[in-house]
Amino acid sequence: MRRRLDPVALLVPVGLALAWEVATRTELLDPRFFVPLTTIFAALAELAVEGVLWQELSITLQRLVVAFGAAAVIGSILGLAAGLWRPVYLITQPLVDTLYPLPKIALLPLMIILVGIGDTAFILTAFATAVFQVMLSLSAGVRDVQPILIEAGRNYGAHGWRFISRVLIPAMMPIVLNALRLALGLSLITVLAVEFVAARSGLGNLVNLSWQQLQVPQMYAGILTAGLLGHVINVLFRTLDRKLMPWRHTTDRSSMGV
Amino acid sequence: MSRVRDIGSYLVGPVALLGTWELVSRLELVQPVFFPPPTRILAASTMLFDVESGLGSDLLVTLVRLTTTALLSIFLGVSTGLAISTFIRAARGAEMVLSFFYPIPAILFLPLISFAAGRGQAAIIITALITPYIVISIYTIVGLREIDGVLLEAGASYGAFGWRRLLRVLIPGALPVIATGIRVALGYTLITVVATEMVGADTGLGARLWESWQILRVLDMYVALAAVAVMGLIASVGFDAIAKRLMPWQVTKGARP
Repeated sequence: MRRRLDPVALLVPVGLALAWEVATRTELLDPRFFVPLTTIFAALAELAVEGVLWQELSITLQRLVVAFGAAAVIGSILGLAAGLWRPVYLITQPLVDTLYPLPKIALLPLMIILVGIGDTAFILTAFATAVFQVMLSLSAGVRDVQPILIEAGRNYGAHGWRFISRVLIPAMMPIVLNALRLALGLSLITVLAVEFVAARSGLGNLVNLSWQQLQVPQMYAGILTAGLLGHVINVLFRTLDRKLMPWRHTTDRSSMGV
Repeated sequence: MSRVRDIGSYLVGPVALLGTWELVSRLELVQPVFFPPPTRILAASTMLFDVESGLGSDLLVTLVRLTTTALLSIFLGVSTGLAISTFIRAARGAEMVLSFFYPIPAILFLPLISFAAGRGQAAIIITALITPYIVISIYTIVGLREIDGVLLEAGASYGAFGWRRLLRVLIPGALPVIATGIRVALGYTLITVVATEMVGADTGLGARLWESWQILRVLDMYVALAAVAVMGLIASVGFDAIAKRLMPWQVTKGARP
């Protein structure tokens, strides 16, 4: 199932990494701001050995898990309800329409005023990012479930639990997984941004702090970790996709799920 | 008839919510300092048009940054996508690089960019540009890759090469996907501009928002927040309307990021 990777395609990232290394080593780029990749990896290793990396990472992950977990539960319930019952849809939709495009980080000052500066404010902001995404994807997804699947299930005599477990859940699975993947990615972005702006701990703060202390390699190491974290999430969902829905022809066009 | 009823029920939620808010705030069941009644926020929103002492100048600054960032990201993103796609075998690799940077919040690059470009307007716009630019590049690459092979062959056999091929075959062929990318990117533009203003600027709605909790100007905060929400709404609804006009042959589904 996996696409075999074209070696020419691999040349691009490898070439860019090499070019960066050369440009920074030869000080073609200002060495105060642009640090060789090898130095960045060394800084990353040092942070890992010192334990700072794991400590900040676990704080970020904790915030992420709480915000995302709450949003997944509440968003799924509201989103499913809105997808299945028109009155719920009509009542929640205007709210979702207005709040979905609002950058959730703009809610941070409000949260801070309401609950004080701290984890609760950060988590609430990330929660707001994820919950509307889950609601929106699910309510739209439920309405898109092909009626032919449901009818075919009925015609072949699936009722009760069999109908739910063999027809409804498999039909809903891709929609739910997609909603959760988007929501988790977005809440990661919000958690990191909020940490960068306001927190005294976590990966986002590590980047900001390293900047203020002019520890440039460490700053890059923080950014790199943030990127890797995003990819772990993508890989996780792609694996879940394959494990839970082996019947599905994977048309994953890119890691963004375009 | 059912349409009228739909619009009616569409209003039920917001009216009920705002009405309850107004009531509990006026009755001081919640502290009106933190939850001023919506009518008061509405009355205060005239400050958005007050350039002298209100939020007027910040609104203008943010609008200029948003427009600049959006236009630059569309231009650069589509160009990058087109350039990369001319080397088909390298495109996957470039996509790998782009999608590595995609999940990193743009704001994390602000320190680096302020180092390189100096703290100022340029740094803010370059930082805010990163995510929308990546989104549009990737959507352009995907859009070009997904063009129906028949269209390409038809174009080639009718003698479309070079510029003609680009303008008459490739861009129109990829346009629906690119349009979805632009829609997603517009959402990100609002996020990145406001977030960058919050930490990296002294002007703009983001800067005012961030300042408002420190000096507890709650009413200003709500007005700024409402203004940002309206911008987001205009960006998504307005874009759908424009896309429908420009590509009447394509029913663009409101793709969300």
